[in-house]
Parts: sequence; structure tokens; C-alpha cells
Amino acid sequence: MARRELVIVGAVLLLVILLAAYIATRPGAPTETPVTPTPTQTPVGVTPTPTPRETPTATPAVRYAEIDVLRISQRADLSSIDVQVATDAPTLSVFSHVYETLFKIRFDAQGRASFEPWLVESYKQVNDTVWEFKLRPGIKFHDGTPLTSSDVKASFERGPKVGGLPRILLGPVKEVQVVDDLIFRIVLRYPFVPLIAHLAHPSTAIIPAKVVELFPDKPIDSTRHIIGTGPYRFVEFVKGERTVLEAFDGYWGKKPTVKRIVWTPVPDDSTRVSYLEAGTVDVITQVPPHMVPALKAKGFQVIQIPSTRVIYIGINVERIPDVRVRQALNLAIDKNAIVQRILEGAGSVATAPISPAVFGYTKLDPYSYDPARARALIREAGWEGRELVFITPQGRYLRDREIASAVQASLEAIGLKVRVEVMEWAAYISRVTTQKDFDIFLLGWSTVTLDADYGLYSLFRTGAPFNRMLYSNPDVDAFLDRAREVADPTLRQQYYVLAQQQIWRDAPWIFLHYEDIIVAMKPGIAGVEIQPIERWILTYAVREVRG
Amino acid sequence: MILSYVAYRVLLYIPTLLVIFFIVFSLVKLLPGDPIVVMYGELAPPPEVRKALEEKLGLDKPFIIQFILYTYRILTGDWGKSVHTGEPIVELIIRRFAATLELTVASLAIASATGITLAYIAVMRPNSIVDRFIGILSMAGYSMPVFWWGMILIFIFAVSLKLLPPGGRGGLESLILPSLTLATVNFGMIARVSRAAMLEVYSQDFVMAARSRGLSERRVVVLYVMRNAAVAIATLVGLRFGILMGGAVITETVFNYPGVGRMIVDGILARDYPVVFGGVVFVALVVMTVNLVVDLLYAILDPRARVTRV
Repeated sequence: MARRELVIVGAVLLLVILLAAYIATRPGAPTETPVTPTPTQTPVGVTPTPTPRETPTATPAVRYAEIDVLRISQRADLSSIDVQVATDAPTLSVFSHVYETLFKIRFDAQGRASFEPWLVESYKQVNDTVWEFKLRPGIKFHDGTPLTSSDVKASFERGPKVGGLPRILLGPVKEVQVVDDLIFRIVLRYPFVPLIAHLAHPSTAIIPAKVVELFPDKPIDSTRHIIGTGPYRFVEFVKGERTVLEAFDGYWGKKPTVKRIVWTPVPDDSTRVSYLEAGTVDVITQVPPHMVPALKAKGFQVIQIPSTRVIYIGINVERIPDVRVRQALNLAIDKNAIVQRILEGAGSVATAPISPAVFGYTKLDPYSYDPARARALIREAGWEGRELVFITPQGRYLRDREIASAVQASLEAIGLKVRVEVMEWAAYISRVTTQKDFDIFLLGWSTVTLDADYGLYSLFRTGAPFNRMLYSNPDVDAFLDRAREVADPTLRQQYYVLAQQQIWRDAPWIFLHYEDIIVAMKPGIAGVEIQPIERWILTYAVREVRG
Repeated sequence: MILSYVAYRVLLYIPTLLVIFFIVFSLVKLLPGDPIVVMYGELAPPPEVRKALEEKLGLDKPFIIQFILYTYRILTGDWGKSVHTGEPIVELIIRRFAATLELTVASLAIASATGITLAYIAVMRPNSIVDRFIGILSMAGYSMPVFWWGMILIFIFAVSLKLLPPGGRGGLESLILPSLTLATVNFGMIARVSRAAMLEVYSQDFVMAARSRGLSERRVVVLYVMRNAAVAIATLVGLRFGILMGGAVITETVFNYPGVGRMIVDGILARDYPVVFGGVVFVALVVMTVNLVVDLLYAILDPRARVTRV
């Protein structure tokens, strides 16, 4: 009997050892030996290189060929089949291949955005509130009908009726006047210079007037009606399984080098990485930072760039009106530690309320980590021992919950009490949007238009829709209002600098960090454009051919 | 006789379903967070849009009216559309159900075949080393978390050997890993229950009688012991089937498998009420039907059940 027991114990031990061995060999396991970064590696989150892979220039040894099918996995599935309804980056990435906008975003070598005419050939500002545009002739929708001014008018009239983003982006537009088939005028409610940036956002993409007639005020109900002028036709959408796009033969612009793109949503991070490793897909997005070294070690290309998303902790200014307390909150947090230890380097400390890629950005000095001074300010303001209600979502932003715990510990260290309420996203966003019963809240904001107006006006202007801090400063309001009206970019930039400096001092946020974007792909693929607005353009991707 | 029994059982569906409707409806409504806000992400829905959408989705009416309207629509076959993608719920469920059914049937087939065979081997030599080993194996099967098995299998067969796809749905090969993973939990349970049931029958008089008639041990086990243990096994498999229909969420997530479970969880996260209601009601219907079939199977497997009608 004793011997038998021994055998059993031995068998169990063996099993445990085998299991341990498996775990140790798993990709991205914590026991992984660190990979020393190669000298060519971009320093994480420092150099903004939004388009790290320009269309490759041929070198003698390597040739590039077109791709028949490119397969990409994002975390999320299409949230809507209506481009004017969708608000999330993954969906808009897909639609950026199908639909086109009047203007197009370009990034320079420093990663700064600019806008160039795209569907329009030329434009001019007639007066403060009237702009005239001329469409490029000869552009066709996927169903063969030509693009005309009426399509623009119909799209811009429908957008605000069905979707939140078009409502914001086209908010300043009073009406679209059709002059002829190609010429139209946009009449604004008030002078609004960032208009051009708004007309480069996929939510203001042009859809056919025909589709607008069918669905004037409700979302489209079938993928048959996904018709744009872009380089790809929409072929198929199976919820939770795949979205398929195919190159459009009648495309007016440069011919795509990828014939077919298949998007597969894979919500689970480790599974998505397995998809790449197993060769099931060619490109994956939202790579978890701890898996980066393992992927690089296996020869996959990993691209990490700062995104335009800033993560912040909003401070309810009505409940915490004393600026000393708000500055103390900023001084109490070790932002570098959050970026290095919690995000594992997948971010950078915020140097302004908006990201460096955005027009209007100015570099400010982050609040230093100074718990002693923070504690003194709290004492001075008589806030010692006061309790803060801190609400935070879980699973929405990279390590959101862990960040919240770190912030809680830091604030308690300077003599405050913090009650953290962690909520699942749907519950959280409803609470932060409709109720105001919190002192501080964690949220992210991506300036998707790449113009400071979108990142500053809607968040810091008195009474603005996303000013959840209830912040109000007449000077900031004046700067932001002026920056909408003056056409001169240098002058606009100056107003934004003034506004940001004032916001920084008033501290209605605890300014945390910019999240990085991490995309991994098979070796040998080039030409994938990764934009800091979490948008990936695959149209001109190519593959390396040896020999 | 049996027809009236079936009719009686089917009639019992109605009150059961109403109770399920009510519970699911109340639970989802009690969750904080509303679908309109979720649709807008970090943006906030403008008040007039909110009002219009509330009216459209019927969210502006009192709880009990919403419940009655909802029940009425479900009963009249109008299961609605997904709030987010506009896809008709019925089409969505049918596609997802087909996927889940494939997965469930495949994994239960593997689990039953393995579990019953192991139980048979164990029963042939009770308390031997082999029996103990099978005991440990079964225990390991259902005590290890499913996602862990899933990741191990993905790592070996998809990432290292590149033999099978790491996930998704399409053809038999994409079914192998997820169904094996799901089978790990169930084979152990089936093996243990089958072993216990068989051993219980083993010590009964009619088995001894069969043995004394000179039947070989193997024939005794197959003809008498297994047949009599079948009721317990069928019950377990039936129960597991029901659980797997909606509860294979973790396996579905690890393998990115588009099943009913994941559809419901995604629906909850997005507060896509029609998807959640439709999915849960559908799963409930399936579970009840499977239970009915299992009960009818008793009658075939065990003549006593025909009289007592459990």
C-alpha cells in the first residue's frame, strides 16, 4: 500500500512539473528572460513616429510585391455598420478604407498633423462664415454613381441626425448650398477655422445621397448600403467573426496594393497574440505591453508609437474649488512610475492636456512628483483627512484599474482618504455622464480631429458637453473662442498655448499620460500606416520578396 | 401515454418561461448603465437624441409596461434587432446557436467516450493503481481552469506545431481544440459519476446472479452494470449539455469562437438588451427541451421510470 501511495504521489509530482514547464514556455510568461532592445529600436513613447513605415524604397536585395489577402485582428468588432453612427476607433479604422472625406490627414516627419484636400480639389474662404469647395471630377461611388455636391449636402444633413460624432464635428455647419454638381458652399453658424480638420474625420465621410434618402434619420440596416468612394468595397460582415473588404476596381486614386483585407475581431489579448504567432493573421493591434519582448524575440515586427489619447483624472471643480488642492493632487502622483511600472513603458507622461501630434499642442512642464509639497498644500487648504470619491472604469484603458489603485495609494499618502469605486464600462460611463456624484474620475480622450479645438474646447470651455469637471475660467473661454475665429495658424497656436498654460495651472485634471499604440505584424510586411489616432491604413501594404 | 406526458411537460414550459423572462428582465434592468450612453462611448448623447432613442427602444416606459411589451413581442415572434448593429436577433441566435451546438456536441462526445471508457477500466479493477490514476486524471481534468487548458492546447498545437488554427470558426479543424478544451472539464466528471454509479450497481444481487450464471466479467459489466448505470450517466450528460449551451463563455473567449455564450456576455457589456433577452430565453428553451429529452430517455433506459414518471 505504501509503495502504491508513493507511485501516486510521484505521478502527481511529475504532472505538476510538466505543467510548470508548459507555463514557463508560454509566450509572454512572467519568467521570460528580458530581450535587450536592438539599437535601432525607437525609444518607447518618446519619438513620435506616426508613420514609421513609409512606402518602402527598394534596396538591391529586397523586392516588394502586392498582397492578395491581408488579415488583421483588432480587439473589437464593428460596433455599428453605419459610418455616421460609429464612434470607436476600431470601427472607424475599417470604414477609413471604404469611405473618404473631403480632406485627408497627413503626418510630417515629426508626427505633426496637417490636412490636405482629398475629395475636394480646391477651396477658399469666402468670408468669416462661408467656405466654397470644388469637388475633384470623375470620382465614383462603389455602385458606379458619380460623386456630386448633393451627396455632400445629404451626408452633412443626415450625420448630425443619426450620430454623436457628426453632431459634434458638423455642429458649426448651418447649411450646405449646392452651387453646381461639383461646387458647393458651407455656411457656418459662427466663424470656425478648425472646420477643415473636422472634414478630414471619417465621421464626416461622404455617403451617397441615395442611401440618405433610404435612411434619413436612422442607422442603415444592411451592409448592402455601405457604399463609399474609398479604395475598398465592403464585401461581408459576420458579427463576431469577420469583416471583409475588397479592392474597388473603379477607385479614382492610386491603386491599392492589397486586394482583400479581412478583419477578425479577437477580444482576448493572449488569443490575439496566438493568432499572429500561429500565422492565422498577419497584423494584430492592441498588443499587451508585456508580450512585446517575446514577440520581438520571435522575429515579429513590433511598432510602438504614442497615441493621441490622453488619460486623465478629472476633478469635480465644484466640489474641489481650491486650486491648491487640485495642484496637490497633481504633485502627489508619480507619473513616471505609472508609465514605467504599470504600463510597462507603453505610454509617456503627459506634457499638455492634448498630445504632441495635435495642432496647437505646446510642451508644458509636468507637475513634479513632490509628496511633501502636496501634503503641505493639503494642510494649508485645510483638506487633511477629507474623503474623495474616485470612480474608475475597468478594462476600458490600458491597466485602468491598476492606475486607479496607484493613484489612491498616492493620495492617501498625502493625507486624504480615497474611496475607489471600480465599475464596468457601461455602468461607469452612464454614471460619469448623467450623474455628478463623484469627486474625481478616470477617463481618456483622444483628439481624433488632430486639432486642439476638439481636445480643448469640448472639455474645458464653460458648459461644454464633455466638461465633466464643471471647470470654468473666463480667460480660457476667451482664448478658445478666439482660436475658433482667427484664420492665421500662428495666431491660433498662440491662443492654444495661452489656454493650455492656464488650464495647466488651474489643474481641473490630474494630468497622467498618453497611451502608446502597439501593433505587431509578420516579418516582411511593410507599408502599413499606423496613425496616432488609433487608425491603421492597410491600403498600400506590401510584402517582401527575397531573391 | 407517452404523448400526453410530453404534452404535459411542454405545457409546463409556459410558466417556467414567464418566470425566466421576469428574472432576466429584472436583472438586466437593475444593472446600472444604459444602452444609449454606451453607444456614445466617451461622448455624451445630446438630450434630444436620448429622448428620441428612449422612445424608439421603449426605455421611457415604466418597468412593468416594458416587461409586458417585451413578453408580448417575444411570444409573437418579434425578437427585435441588436441595438448596436441592427441585426435581427433571430438570425444572430440561429447562427450562434449552430456554432455552440457543434462545439457542445463535439466536446460531450469526446468527454463521454473518454469518461465512460475510463470508468469502465477503473471499475474492472477497483482500487488498483490504474483506478487511482484515473481518479487523479479526472480530478485534474475538472479542477484545472478551462482557459488554462485552452492556452496550453493553443500553444502546443497552434503556435508551436502550427497544426491547427488557434481559434475562430470554420471547418472541422477549428473545432478540435475548443472541443477538447471543453471536454477536459466534463470527461473527469463523467468518469467519476460513471464509476460511482457502476460500482453501486456492481454490488447488487442481480449482478452476482449474472456472474454465477457463468458470464464473463466483461459481459457482466457491459450488459448489466453499464446498462443500469446509464440513467445516472444520461442525467449528468444532459445536465452538462444544458450548462454548456450558454456557459461555455470562457472557452469561446479563449478560442475566439462565436458561440451563444459570448454573444450574451458581449450583449451585457454593451447593454444590448434585445440580444441579452433573446439569447437567454433561447438558451432556457434549449435547456428545458434537453431536460425533457433526458427524462424521456429514462423511460427507455429504465422501465421503472415509465410508471413513476419522475
